[in-house]
Amino acid sequence: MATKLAEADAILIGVGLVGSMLGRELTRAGLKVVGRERGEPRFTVPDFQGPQMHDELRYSIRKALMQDNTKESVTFRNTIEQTALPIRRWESFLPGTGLGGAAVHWNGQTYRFQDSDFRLRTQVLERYGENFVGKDLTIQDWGVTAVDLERYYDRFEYLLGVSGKAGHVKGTKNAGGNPFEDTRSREYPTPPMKEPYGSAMFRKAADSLGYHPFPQPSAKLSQPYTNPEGLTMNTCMFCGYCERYGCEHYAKSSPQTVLLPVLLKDKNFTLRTQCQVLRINFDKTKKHATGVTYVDSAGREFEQPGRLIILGSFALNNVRMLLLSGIGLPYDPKTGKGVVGRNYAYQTMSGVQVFYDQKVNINPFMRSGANGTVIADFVSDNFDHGTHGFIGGAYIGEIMTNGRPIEFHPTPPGTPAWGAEWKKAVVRHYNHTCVLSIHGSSVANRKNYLDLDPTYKDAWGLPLLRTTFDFPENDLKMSAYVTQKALDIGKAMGGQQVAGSPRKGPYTITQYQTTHNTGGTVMGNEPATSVVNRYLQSWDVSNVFVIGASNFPQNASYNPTGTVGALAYWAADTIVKQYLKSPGPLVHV
Amino acid sequence: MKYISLCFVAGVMIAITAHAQTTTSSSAAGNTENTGPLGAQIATRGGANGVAACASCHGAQGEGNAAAGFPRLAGQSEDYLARQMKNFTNGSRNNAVMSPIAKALTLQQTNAVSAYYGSLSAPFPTPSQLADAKVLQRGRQLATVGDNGKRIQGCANCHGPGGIGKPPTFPYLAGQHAAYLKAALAEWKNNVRTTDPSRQMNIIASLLNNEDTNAVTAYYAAQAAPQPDVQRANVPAGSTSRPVSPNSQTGSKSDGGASATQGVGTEQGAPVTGGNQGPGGGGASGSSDRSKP
Repeated sequence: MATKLAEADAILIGVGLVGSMLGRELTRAGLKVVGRERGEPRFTVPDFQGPQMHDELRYSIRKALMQDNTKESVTFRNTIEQTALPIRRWESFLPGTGLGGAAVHWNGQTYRFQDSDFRLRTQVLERYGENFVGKDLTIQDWGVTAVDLERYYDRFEYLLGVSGKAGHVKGTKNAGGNPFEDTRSREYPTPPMKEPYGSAMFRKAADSLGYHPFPQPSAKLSQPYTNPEGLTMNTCMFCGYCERYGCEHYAKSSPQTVLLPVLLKDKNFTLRTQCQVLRINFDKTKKHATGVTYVDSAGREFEQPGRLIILGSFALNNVRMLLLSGIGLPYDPKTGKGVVGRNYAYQTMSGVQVFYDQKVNINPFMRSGANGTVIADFVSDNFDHGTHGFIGGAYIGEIMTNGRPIEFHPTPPGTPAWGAEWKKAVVRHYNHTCVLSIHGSSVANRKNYLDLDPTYKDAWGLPLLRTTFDFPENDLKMSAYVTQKALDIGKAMGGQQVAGSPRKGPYTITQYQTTHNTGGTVMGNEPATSVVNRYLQSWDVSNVFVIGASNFPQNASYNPTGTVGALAYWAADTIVKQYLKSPGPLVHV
Repeated sequence: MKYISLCFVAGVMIAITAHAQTTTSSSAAGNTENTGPLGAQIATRGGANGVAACASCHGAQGEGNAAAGFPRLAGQSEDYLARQMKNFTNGSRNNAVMSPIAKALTLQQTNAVSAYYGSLSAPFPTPSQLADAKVLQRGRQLATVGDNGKRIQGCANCHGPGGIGKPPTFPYLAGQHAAYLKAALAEWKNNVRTTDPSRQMNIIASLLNNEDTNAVTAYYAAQAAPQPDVQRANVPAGSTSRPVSPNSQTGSKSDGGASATQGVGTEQGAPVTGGNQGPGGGGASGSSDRSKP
């Protein structure tokens, strides 16, 4: 029998980046907010301190900061004809867990999506005509524009203290920034990170080929910074232990460094960790949520009533929570009907390695999670797709993040995978190799989707989320095209040997690619093709807001977190200024 | 940077004791044979250009002077010492005694005397009077994990576990005299020392109150100073030699025991190489094509 708790004004499901941001905005508006986080509490001191934080075996290989898949995993298959099996060991993507969520172990690459990303379908139809988009593709507009989100991007970047160089401020293009970005209201809060040697060689090569290199925007700060919450961040030390790790230096923007110290002191906020939310509850009309049911670490079940529910967990878990709670019609790939789980997308990644002779010392260990130099010439619709037969694109960059001993062993093609010859090659190439990343978009199609697994259950007896995904032909074509451009840049960088190949199918979950899983609770203007409206409010249950990368109708070329942060502030602003004054649907159709 | 030779004899490693004459320095390459004597000469007798003998303040063996707050130099990273001399010269660090001395020395002299002190091993006398246990406990906390309420990270993040330093950049703190460490923290706090481009030290020092400063400096002063960096051997890339720790010189460990090798670079056959494993990564694809043996 569940113990019933006192009603809260708002309940946060998940206290990661989105939960912390909404918690702060709603308590500031005077609401009594309770945060329910399934993972453990953790803080810069003592949890992220050296030397234990630099334990590569524990954090990179055994993935200590990730969701415990002995309790809660995800099943996977490539196609609807296959039987999905549970992922027993995270490899392809790494869902985080714990206070602060994935924003503890992220790299901090903080981009804005472009306006052409937000109005993708319209853009493609206008520029290339009706027949350009493949029949299977279910790409659509977001219902918001870059103009709508500008001040929320701005606010998020100033919360984090992002280090970068603006390319387009108040309508004026600035040399050295990203010339393709939409106009922004002001410069980044802090100047760009120092440019590593390999990145400098990339910049020169890209420049010589007529491209437009710029420093990657970074939430690892280039200098001390005090954010609008009054919290001071330190300078990144380029330690090379960033993604998959917490930052010991107070230099990585995460809820622990930019928000939680303020939020946790607020008397209107209550945090409970190790609380596994099982479902969102409703009244008889099924149109109004009454709260959540959760189980604590001692196995006790609680009912937490609340007037407003913020579902801000990891994208995949947002989808699963709606499916477990019965909110919205689940997507059916056979009919194309239904919305929850629809338009699951990913990111189309590939890499190019540039092998130098031994006079060129790269020092790969001296890196940060988001340093380096990139080009956006092949991002989104920044180039003419007319003859290529695909939509979308990728950024290319020398954005190496580490030279850690277990993970970083660049060897040229033809090198044996083990043995004396392999060891010799690792010694020969370790300090003399640059790696370029090709970070590409992912279109939505009818076949890729999320639903509840019919067989496998979690530790609480609830069905796991099932992912059905393979790379759409469109994205493989895109990867082939942009990876060739990266190979050309690699050659212009003066390496002795340049190796790399585009992303090829089938999608495998046994090789790390990216944790940019998107879609499943997509936003939009039509209830028939979206789960939430443009303010991220559930069409079906108006006091439930779903926020995260699960809102993306398809994934863009850039990293998603900047857009997740902007959407979170956009939704929070709407809740405070409109919803709280008159609770109910914000969009009527 | 700096390497010493290691000989393997019947499985017993004998590290050639790092001696001034055998130490080479990248910056003093070509003067190798003169480095030792010149460094020792300046340290013990001073320089011809009117520079006083370092030993007159820093002790005959570089052990420093606890009462006067002259720092211990023995075994401090050569690179760090040379850098500080340059900092005294360019004014990013200021000291009434040291600044004129640093300015008077030539680059060759600076490098030689830095190498000399980097190679020295001075005794570490247990401090006669240990601070209160509570003070040391607070010092230990700041040194090892920091203080989240004050947003102070643990010193060990940069200065190494136990404060043994992370050469060549970060100096050791273990065994350093409390009076010197306090003076150094005051310089950081007052921004008269601007040698840290990240400004981490200026910020950390400004977050420490007097009690914290007393505690952390007392804690480090009570820890045994580390061996000279050159005895914590590095081996050149590609060498078949294996690193030997100072401790292993005392026992007769087998070759294998002293040099456990790294884990392998694959998981379930999937390559994890490539350098970009995180969001924004994906560099592994190049290596996925490589042929199997």
